[in-house]
Amino acid sequence: MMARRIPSILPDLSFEEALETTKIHSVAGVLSKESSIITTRPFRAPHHTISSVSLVGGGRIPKPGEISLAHNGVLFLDELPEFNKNTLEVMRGPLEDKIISISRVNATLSYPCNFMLIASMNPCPCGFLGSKEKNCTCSPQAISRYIGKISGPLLDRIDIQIEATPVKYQKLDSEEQTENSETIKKRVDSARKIQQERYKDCKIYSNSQLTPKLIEKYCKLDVEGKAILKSAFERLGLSARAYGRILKVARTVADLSGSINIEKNHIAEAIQYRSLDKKYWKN
Amino acid sequence: MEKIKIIEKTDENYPKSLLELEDAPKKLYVIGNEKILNNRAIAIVGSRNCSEYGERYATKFARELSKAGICVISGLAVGIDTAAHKGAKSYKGKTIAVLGGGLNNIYPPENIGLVNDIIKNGGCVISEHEPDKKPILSEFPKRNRIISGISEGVLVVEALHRSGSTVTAKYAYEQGRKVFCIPSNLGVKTGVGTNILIQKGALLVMKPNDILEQLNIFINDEKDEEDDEDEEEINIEDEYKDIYKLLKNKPLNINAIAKSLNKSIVEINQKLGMMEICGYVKCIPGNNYIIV
Repeated sequence: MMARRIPSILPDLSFEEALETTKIHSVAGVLSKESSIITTRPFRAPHHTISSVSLVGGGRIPKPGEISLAHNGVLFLDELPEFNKNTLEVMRGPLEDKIISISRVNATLSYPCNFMLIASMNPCPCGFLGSKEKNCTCSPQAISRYIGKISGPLLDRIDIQIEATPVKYQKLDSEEQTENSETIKKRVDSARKIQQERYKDCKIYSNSQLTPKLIEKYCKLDVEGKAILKSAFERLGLSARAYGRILKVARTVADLSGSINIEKNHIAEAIQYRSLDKKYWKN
Repeated sequence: MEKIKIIEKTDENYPKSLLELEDAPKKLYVIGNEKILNNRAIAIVGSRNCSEYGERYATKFARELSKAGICVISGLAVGIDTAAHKGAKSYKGKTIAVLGGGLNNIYPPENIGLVNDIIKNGGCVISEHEPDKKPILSEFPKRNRIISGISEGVLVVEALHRSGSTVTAKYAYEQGRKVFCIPSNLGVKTGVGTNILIQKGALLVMKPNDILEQLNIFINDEKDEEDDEDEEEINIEDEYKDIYKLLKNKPLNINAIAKSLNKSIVEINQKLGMMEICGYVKCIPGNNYIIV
């Protein structure tokens, strides 16, 4: 449910982005007859029985796959460990490069695939590991087999990992005030504006597009921040790939709170979002 | 955490029953009340991967034995062991946890809250290993000789075939201790070990009195309620103290922490992040945080 709401807090499509997305949908032949241009960010949620070809694209004359159809939008993979392992691993390259090149005898085509990957999964096959209400009935081997379907490199490419606890009935029924999408979107938009302003000379729009060189320039840490990051890497055993990604997330956290510099709290929050890395995969 | 005390073989608090053993540990490391090591005691052991049935009866037997003034001994593992300690705790009974690793490396870490409770209730946690020794699973069965050694009898609640609990029962036989078993249904994996033990002559028990009769104990309703809450000094930054205090007794998830401190989740998240990096807390499955 939460994943389906994500497009509602994303910034609006720019004209260029809308054209690109429309083009891909047109090539794939999935553009509806009534609409001439796609104005909302796409949300694709393929079932876990999907093949690797239909995920990244292919065919005699290669057609765009789900990751390209989700260009400038969201690709949501529910029940991630249920997907075929090979299917998931083919996404590793495209997730880095934001483009997929498909070669067949008849043609070699490149499709853009700049999508936000959202995935969900249970902590174990029975779903109750760590739950207070029910006991987990899985054997340790079954859990590690289940968790092992998600490879370290793929997990490393997921910047924000959060463990959600089951929602109790009282919460569903309560009238507690919560933030709605509009308020959140305003915050996102203002952070985007800060980023566009900052990167106007660099030909990029957002923190996610930062290259290692630009990270050095725009994600500067003070002495305290550096010390925290250093001890976090030593203590929590984070990977080298996580380094740049943590800095980018910390930059975004700082932008969202309207701060010019990345402070130690922002670093701490960004590291917090890698909780699964530490808990389940590093035992 | 309280100070670790070392008890040598010559110490008056060293369990006399352990002295009979050939391979008795040279010294014991103890946190908590070492005077109870010579109390009358029954060990309750069982499977980590226990059923609700086993958990229920482990809790019940531990509670009833505590009522009779018997000290409940177990190994602090998840499953039956935890249920036994909790059962004893629910009556504010004294219970002894025997660890397989050093006392500075409590295993499993999610039971740190339980350790605090055990000590608070006048129980203790003991180990034969150096305090900084890391827990090595393959060495755990060896500590079972201490579990059975200190106790007059061992109650096996649920055990897989050839598991750690059956090892404890084996030690108990060798040491001349009584072995009690709670029966299980046929066809239940966690009941195979106990049923085999019964077949080999362990005493089948259906109620706690069955055990007490064997020990010639008659229930007396003497309550022993000591509850001294020592506020020990926490050596961490002031801004993290309130969270640390909350987590001291039991693991909590971030929502619960934010709610009880009346702060925003973002703020608590950042603080927990800092505390984790500094090594004060740790996140365990279920998104719960425990102190390290």
